[in-house]
Amino acid sequence: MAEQYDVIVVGAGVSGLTAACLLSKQGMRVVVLERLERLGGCCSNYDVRGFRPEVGAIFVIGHEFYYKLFELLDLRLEDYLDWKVIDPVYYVYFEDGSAYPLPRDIDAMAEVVRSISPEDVDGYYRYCRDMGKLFDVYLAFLRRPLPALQDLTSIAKLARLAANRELLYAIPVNLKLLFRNMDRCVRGYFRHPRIQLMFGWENLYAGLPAHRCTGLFTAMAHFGRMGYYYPRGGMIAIPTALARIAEGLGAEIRLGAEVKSLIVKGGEARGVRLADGTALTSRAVVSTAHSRVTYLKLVGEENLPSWAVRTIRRQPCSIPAPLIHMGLSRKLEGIGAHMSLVANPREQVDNIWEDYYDRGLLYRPADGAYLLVCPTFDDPGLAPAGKDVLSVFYIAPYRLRYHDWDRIAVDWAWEVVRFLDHRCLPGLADAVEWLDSVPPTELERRLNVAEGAFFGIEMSLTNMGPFRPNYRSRLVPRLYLAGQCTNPGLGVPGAMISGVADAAIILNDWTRRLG
Amino acid sequence: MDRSSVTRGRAPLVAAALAGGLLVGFAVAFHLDEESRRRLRKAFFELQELPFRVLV
Repeated sequence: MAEQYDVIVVGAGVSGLTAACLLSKQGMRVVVLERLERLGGCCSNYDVRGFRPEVGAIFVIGHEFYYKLFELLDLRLEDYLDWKVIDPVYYVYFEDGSAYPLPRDIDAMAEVVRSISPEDVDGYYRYCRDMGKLFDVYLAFLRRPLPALQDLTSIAKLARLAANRELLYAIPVNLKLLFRNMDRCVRGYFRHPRIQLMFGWENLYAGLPAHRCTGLFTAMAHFGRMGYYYPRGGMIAIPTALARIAEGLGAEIRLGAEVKSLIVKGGEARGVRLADGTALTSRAVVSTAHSRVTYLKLVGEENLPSWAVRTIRRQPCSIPAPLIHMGLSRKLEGIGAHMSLVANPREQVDNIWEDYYDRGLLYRPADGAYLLVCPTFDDPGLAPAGKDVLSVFYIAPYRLRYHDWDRIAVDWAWEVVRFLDHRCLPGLADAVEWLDSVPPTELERRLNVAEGAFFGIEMSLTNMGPFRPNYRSRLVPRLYLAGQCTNPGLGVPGAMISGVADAAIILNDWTRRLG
Repeated sequence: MDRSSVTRGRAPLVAAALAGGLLVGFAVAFHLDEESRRRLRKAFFELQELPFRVLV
């Protein structure tokens, strides 16, 4: 019997939609199935009474990559997305009440460094020089014309694309960063604890404490100087643009279509079964869900060898990124940037990590470190006129030793709000018109990500590269994985790269393995 | 059941006992604190998992 579709994509996040666009462009019959009633998965906005906070992803680094993706589709990015550069990159609130904007301009930032610690200015310029070399590699790579989609699986062609003079210059910096932890790298450039904190907190995105995180993340603060971008209309504008393109190319997108399981015949993935009992057949299935969800729930443990079940279950998740979303009845004076960091001394934050790993404890709100995101700072259209949206990200264990997240989530959120009101945003507690506390357990339910970890699998050296789940499943033929759990992981561009890789691999497999 | 299959059956137990002994030996020999012991345990665990992760 002929299959209904060539490829079924499970999940309408950016990785799934990217794969759907590229495969549809090749003339394949593609359907994208999304459990929720909105696009984007973790890169999305939801709407409550006109307030539209971000679900997960909050910005993108360097929009050059998106131009490249649109080149593959023979389209112009400007026709689909309108970017705004985030400047100042951050605002930092310290424990004594002082606050500093971190401007995008390198010399203006040097002045901020000078005002805190004059002896760190030289270190700052050295840091910019080193990290600039990495950024040059990235730009040189993007400036070259990409080969055809099917050639992207050729290691030789990719190596030729990546090989450039900038890469040669950056090798020593790369090696230094790769094999040192982030804590050591930051201390190598800066002496003052506050400057170390300003340049050394992006380990949060890796879901690891600075002493366990690869030094490559040290470059993120510099990449912020080069450009953090925000699409007008919120992060959901990215999946919306991709969905528009995919549908224009003939793909079918079904929202509210929950996939219950994969149809596995003779050990191969031959389609999916939906929650309403409908069965859809295909020649290949792309799953963008967390690898634990894909293998243990959708494929089913009975279809996998026991060692694989054990390995998948044991692979550590990144930290959950629980959130508190708020709709504010008025604009607050204290909010000075799209993103703000409420910082505490390094030792205090290290204690949180120990609590997180060893004891499963929740700290006092005053001891925590928080990332505040105010999307209405750059796009007022994301809240009713004269009002603001504010989201608070924090670190917390998935399993609490003495509490149940579902019981304490709202009280905990209000404690955090009162702390922020006292520390840096006077009037916040009174201005809260609507509050949504999303602890790790709720994040898991809403986004279907294991342990609420929307960064996917931990980004440590032993869980990167060949140690992340493969794009082409080695356990279930005709199954392909994309999203945060695959390579390269981390963020919206990472997810999109996995979508491009899946499309290229499927195209190459089409006659050899999928016929 | 012949002698070789009995030996094979006990191999995981022997390996686990050896790894445990090594861990305890390290901790005692180097007077490791709780944090260092946790990191060592994690490193052993990761090392053991690597070959399987490549196959998933």
